[in-house]
Amino acid sequence: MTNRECPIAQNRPDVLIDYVARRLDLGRLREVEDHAAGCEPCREFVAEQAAAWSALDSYSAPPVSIDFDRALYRRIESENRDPWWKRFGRRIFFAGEPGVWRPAMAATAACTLLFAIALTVPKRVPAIVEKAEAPAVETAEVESVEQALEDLEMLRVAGNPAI
Amino acid sequence: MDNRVDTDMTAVAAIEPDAQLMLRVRAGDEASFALLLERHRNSVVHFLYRMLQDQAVAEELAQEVFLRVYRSRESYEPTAKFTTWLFRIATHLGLNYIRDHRREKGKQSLDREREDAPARQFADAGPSAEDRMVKEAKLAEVRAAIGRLPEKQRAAVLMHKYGELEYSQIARSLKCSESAVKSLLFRAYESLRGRLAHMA
Repeated sequence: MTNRECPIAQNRPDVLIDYVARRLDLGRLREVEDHAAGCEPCREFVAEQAAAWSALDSYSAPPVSIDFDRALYRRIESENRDPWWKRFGRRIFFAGEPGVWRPAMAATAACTLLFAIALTVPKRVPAIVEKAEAPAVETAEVESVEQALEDLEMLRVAGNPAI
Repeated sequence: MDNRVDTDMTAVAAIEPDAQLMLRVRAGDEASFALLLERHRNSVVHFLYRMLQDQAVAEELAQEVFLRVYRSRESYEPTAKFTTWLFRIATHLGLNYIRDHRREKGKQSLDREREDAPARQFADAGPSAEDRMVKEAKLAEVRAAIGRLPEKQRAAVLMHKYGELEYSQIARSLKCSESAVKSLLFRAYESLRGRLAHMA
């Protein structure tokens, strides 16, 4: 059986990972064992996963320093001595649930920016009005140019009656 | 306040004792916080150590994790397993730290601990110098293999392998779906198999 032909190796490698991690119930465990006995891709997968799993076992962490709790309680006491507004700010922005206030902070920043822009808008209104008047001037210029061209044409015709 | 605690505690009594302890902390019982700290201190520090590969930083961030738990005691609601919440905070802080220190980190931190660590002493009856060197080399290889994983894959593997969290818990910690976690783990273990399978 090839990797593509095995439904477990192809679609459910998590079952094999759980099998190596011994996270399957007994019934499922035996099922996978029976299947792997006749399936080469699954046997190979399990062997490699087991090797990696065992290597990861060797990655032990050093013991936690004995001062850990004391340092933590010092920080708690220090925070408790802070003024109320500092504690309030920490509870809002640095409390247990991560990430909740980041969008809120972004939204607040966006609102502040919009508010600041809104404050400056009235100063720009006259500029818009000026711009709105500009086409009228341009229209007048075009008309005067046209008038001048017509006058020239009349003069040209008057100067040469043969035309 | 006490009535509220009693009601909530009845509701979560069947779920887990950690949530009950946290509800007691919410009611002002400091001893319950000490108990929670005692229960989960090692797993949080070890998780952060394996994630950041720096013991001092891991301990500092782990303190921040418990500090945040303590800070939010008054608004605590047992909506999920306590460990899910704890690892969610730890993962968040760990990933933020990695992002904030990506430039300066490089390979430096992988070696820093070994340089800073006091010389280890072994009894004469212990393993030979050669065995020790082989063990150290293997450990360095495992550390490097984990260190090379992308951050989210690393966090998922550490929660799965060492924290023994369920897929649903990992999903909530990483704010993604269970299928996304399975995919993350598959890719992570695929990399690790490629780098570590020869160590069998």
